[in-house]
Amino acid sequence: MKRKRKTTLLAAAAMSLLGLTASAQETVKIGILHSLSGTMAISETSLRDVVLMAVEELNAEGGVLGKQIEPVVVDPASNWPLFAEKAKELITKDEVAVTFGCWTSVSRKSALPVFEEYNALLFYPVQYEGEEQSLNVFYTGASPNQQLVPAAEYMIDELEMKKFYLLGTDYVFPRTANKVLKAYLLSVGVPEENIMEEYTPFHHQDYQSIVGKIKTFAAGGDACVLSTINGDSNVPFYKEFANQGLTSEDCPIVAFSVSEDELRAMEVPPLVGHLAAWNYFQSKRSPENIAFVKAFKAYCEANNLPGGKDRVTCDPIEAAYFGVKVWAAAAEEAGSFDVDKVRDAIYGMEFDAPGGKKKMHPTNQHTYKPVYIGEIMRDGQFKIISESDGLVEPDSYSALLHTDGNFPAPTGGPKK
Amino acid sequence: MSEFNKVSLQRAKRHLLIMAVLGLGIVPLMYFTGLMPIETVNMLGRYLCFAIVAVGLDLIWGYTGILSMCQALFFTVGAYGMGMYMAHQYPSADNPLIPQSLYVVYPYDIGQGKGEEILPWFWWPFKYFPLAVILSILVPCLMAALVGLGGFFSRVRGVYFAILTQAITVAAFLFFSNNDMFLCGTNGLSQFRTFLGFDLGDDKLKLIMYMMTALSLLGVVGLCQYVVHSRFGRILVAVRDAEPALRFQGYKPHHFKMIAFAFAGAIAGLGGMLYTPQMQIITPSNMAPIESILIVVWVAVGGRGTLTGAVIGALFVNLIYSWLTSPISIGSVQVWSPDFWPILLGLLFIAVVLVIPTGVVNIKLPSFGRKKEVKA
Amino acid sequence: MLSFILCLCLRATADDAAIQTHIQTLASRKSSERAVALDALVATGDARMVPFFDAYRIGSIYLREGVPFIGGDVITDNNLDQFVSLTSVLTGETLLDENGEPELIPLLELENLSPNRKERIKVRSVSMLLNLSSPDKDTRLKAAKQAGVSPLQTDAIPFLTGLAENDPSRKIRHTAAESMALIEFGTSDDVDVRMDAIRSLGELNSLRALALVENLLEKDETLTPKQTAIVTAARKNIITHQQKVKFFDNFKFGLSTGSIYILMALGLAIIYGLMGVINMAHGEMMMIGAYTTFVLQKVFGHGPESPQNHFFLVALPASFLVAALVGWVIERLVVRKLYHRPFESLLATVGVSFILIQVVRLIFGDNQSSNSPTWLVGGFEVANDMTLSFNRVFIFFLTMAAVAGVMVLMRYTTFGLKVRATMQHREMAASVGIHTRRMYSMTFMLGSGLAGLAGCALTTVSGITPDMGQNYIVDSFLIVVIGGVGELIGVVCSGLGMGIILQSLENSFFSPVWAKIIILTMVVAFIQFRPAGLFPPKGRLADV
Repeated sequence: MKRKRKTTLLAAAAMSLLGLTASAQETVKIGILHSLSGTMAISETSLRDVVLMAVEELNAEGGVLGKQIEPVVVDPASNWPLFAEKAKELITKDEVAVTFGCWTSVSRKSALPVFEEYNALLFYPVQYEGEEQSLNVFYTGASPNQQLVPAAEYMIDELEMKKFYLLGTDYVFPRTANKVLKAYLLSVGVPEENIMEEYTPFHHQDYQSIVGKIKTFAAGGDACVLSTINGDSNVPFYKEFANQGLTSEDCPIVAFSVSEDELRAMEVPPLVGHLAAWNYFQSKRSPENIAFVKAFKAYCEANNLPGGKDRVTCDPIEAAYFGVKVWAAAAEEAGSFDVDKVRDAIYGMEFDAPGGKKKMHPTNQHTYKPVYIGEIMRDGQFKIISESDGLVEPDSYSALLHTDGNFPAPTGGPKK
Repeated sequence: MSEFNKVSLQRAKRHLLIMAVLGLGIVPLMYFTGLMPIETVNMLGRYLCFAIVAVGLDLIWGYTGILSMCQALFFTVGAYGMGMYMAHQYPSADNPLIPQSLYVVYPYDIGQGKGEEILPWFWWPFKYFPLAVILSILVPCLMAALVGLGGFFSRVRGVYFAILTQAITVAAFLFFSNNDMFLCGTNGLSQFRTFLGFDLGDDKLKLIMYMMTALSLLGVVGLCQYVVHSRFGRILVAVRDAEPALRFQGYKPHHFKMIAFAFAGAIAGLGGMLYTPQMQIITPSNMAPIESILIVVWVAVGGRGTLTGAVIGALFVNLIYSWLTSPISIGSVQVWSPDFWPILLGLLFIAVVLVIPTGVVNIKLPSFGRKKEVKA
Repeated sequence: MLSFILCLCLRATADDAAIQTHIQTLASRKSSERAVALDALVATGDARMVPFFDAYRIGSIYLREGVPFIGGDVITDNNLDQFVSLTSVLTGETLLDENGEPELIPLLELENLSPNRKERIKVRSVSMLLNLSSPDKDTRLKAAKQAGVSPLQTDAIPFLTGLAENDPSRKIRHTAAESMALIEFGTSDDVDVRMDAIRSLGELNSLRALALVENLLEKDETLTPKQTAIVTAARKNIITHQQKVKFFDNFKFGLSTGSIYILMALGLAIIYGLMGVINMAHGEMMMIGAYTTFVLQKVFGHGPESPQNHFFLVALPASFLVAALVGWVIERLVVRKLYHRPFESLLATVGVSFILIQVVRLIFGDNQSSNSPTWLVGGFEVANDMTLSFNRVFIFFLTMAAVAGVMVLMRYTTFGLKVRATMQHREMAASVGIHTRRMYSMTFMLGSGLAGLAGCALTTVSGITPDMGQNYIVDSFLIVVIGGVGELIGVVCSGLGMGIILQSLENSFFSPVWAKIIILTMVVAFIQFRPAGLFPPKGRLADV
């Protein structure tokens, strides 16, 4: 239809804007489905960058199965329906072998039916609320039992906290996370009146009243905030917290969505001593990790990405990175890009991630990961103050929410 | 009937015919001959839903002069109506009374545990398809009537009305996003399996839904054309151009405004209702403030006060948006990176306002020669 | 054997060697050995132990070939190697390199001592006791506060008594008395002492004791009626005071939120009220102001480690000017043709806003941090539990100044007269020789500049992102409409009103989501009754 003609016109107009990338060799396409504009760009552009870096590394080593990888970057623009549309386009038009993408739960939920319909593969790199297990998704981020519960455990056992203020942005991750946390806290004997729960809308900017409430709540001591505040609300929240005279000594905040990347946007000194729970920190001292961090900084600088060598790595960045490597290794092992074969090869795969050895679960699509609790330091990095013994097994469905042990069957998978 | 009206009606009929040929003839033909993949048909189907809302907005903005920032709200409410019906088709395994979509985000009351979930009263009617269809159109229609009752009867006009409707939309957006409202929070309604016995991935369903949408659009455009050429339509235009004069002649403009507004609300609900089975997810983000503004943009880009323009504008802007957010390559050379789409789209909006203020529709067919331009 | 003799010989220089040995023992793997060493260190009572304990608690003690040092901040270089500067525990001297700068020692060459939770608590209580007699006011205050937190120590009471009676700072006297009562209540077995403690906690309006008191009333069934009366009276005291605090807070939060609203809406009111342009890119003007501040912060090299506070004095006018300049360009290219055509201007400025957001994102990226000047960090206490944050006070006064400035400009200057004339009747104004085009252009610049100023101010309370303007644009329009476009005073009234109502709702039992929904409903209802706002426009503008 008219589509072709307009495309050509636009293409001609766009010519001058961009450098040209050409490749003659035989290639395999992969899709990158991260928002580059709109409200989620703040978090997702970094993942696009690291996936491209992983691709570059793989290509330098000769590609996968002898083929160079050709990334197709689309912009779902923080628009949830567009995630589904772009996923469909990647799968049917570009015929990508695998897609790396999504951040928010709702974007994943939006794209999920598409991946299941076409039996395609998605690597989802962000910690999330669990309660999902699709055979078409590999979850390389943490499940609730790999992040939330260990953090609460630490606060109770190590810091002897008695009062918990569960504060989050009003969407499904904080809601489910707090459900899990509350179930856990009640199960270890924290009385109901010592748990407060509060939600703010997305992009909430004015935390005066809430910090005032926390101040009252924490006045008696031994209180902490378990925060699942998302995205750009964190900056005003922490700023207000410091400005009302609260410090990590009065009431530590344990954040589940604040990583090194988010800390770049904050004034760090007043935050020193607040905590975060993740499965990876940039400050992890190991030769592999130092090499990874250096490579990422060098990549950002070489490609003139905003921030350049000041960029940092964080948990989702690591998860996005090793997702690409896991997929490549699985394709090599399976000797094919066929989704069903690759999936089988991934199950139970052990591999070296920048943060250390990790393992894919043999059945439930998630990843065995270590759990770290980190304390914010003056330079915007985390000091690891607690570390799990080895890798923690992921739960797709939380045992705390399915006390009868009756877990739903996985969805999706090969077409019958 | 005046001479102008006659010419205008003829042109309207011609446009309707072209649309019918394109939408009901060419597109299915291309699909059956393999020129157009089913995904594109599905995508066009969804954009036609947007076109339906846009036609509704054109009726009240283009012809009646009411700028509404509520249309995305009515659209989403209609979409939720059908979404709730579809959600009922996939009940949770743990509690068959509760749709899975609601079950995973069920806000438990104090002391309420697993297995004690109660289906909220407003979910009940949507178990039944005919009721769901009726309510998906009726509820937005009544909401619009209510907004109109409040706004027009106290003579809120122009920009004030736009801001009023925006406030309502934002409030509704927050309400729907709130997880405690049993509307599934920001995740919205998803996890659908079947629709009217079809599997949602079924190509047949996608084609049927496309045809349904195209037919509905034609129906809506035809109906609106009939309305604007009727006596009622002349009064609407009078409301737009000289409301005080109309009132002076003994008419009650607010009655007409309210009826038109409620009608547009119903149209938006219809669009939303058709949207859900094709999109398979509906979330509150569909009624975020910017979405309503975008609907206004579609109409303005296409050409205000022409109905055809609304359809063209909705398709044009959405297709451009869809293309620009993907990389474009010629051969193996990538010539467009999605990083830049907001810049190009923004330039397009500005260009339309400054260069072709009467909309795309008016540069497309210059030979028809407008006798009188719609006041921009 | 040799080491034993060596030890004996060195006994004369005594403490230093002993301290060093004890500190070395802290690196032991056996927690029992560590505990003994820690006790021994506490027992020395040496003044050098104060900085040592503080550093030990946060894990900043390093051993270099067995010699203990206090480490500064860890510095990571571009190769990700980590370095630290060292200060001797024993001599208090910092190791210097040949240039006289603190020498940076690679972390790999050092052994780090990191205490476990138990040791941290012990050290914290020890340094708390030592800090109670610190010459530094803030350290004393912190220690006095900490004394009231578990583990409670009766050892602290004599120090606290001294502070409560003699300290020059009112705040410290209050806190010390409070902590003392908390310790007495928590540790004493004597019921009378405990009741006295409760009574004084009540008199002190101690919020920290509220949970304690309520718990006592609910759970303790051994209370005699007389005791119950004492506890109830204390509770009443505390709660009455808290109500006052809450009232103060509502007002304070409201004023602060309101002044941000006003600052945002002021420019919008001018642009819409005077020119009939719906400027959807107004939020982006604010964003540009914020990014201007950010760029200047980088240029001046301001950061938490090296405060260059004067950057902010430059940033305030600069953000105004840059935003005004961008406004001028937009006016020239786009808005010029759209005066008094609100709908078209809406469409075009949506386009402008798309472009500005993405251009800024491509240039600066997301996640950039803005650091406020240090004099806007923190706050001061006006009364017990009632504090004012400097940044909020600053924004309030900035807003008032901006409003006053605009009013004076519009009412009492020739420029204002010309602008008003142009807006009221363009042709007439032109015919008396007013350059109306320029008037429009300058008005748009003024409005944009005010948004830029708002952006600069906002960097002190929230973060900067390319789409930050989107968070404020809807609210700003509501403020303008409620105020009515006739008078700037309308914007002030509606901004403050909305701020105070919103914060009061949030601060009572409504969640922020519901507070927002309620306020929007109120706005909708308000528009029904006063369709043209608080101060409706008169005359020619009335029919826009």
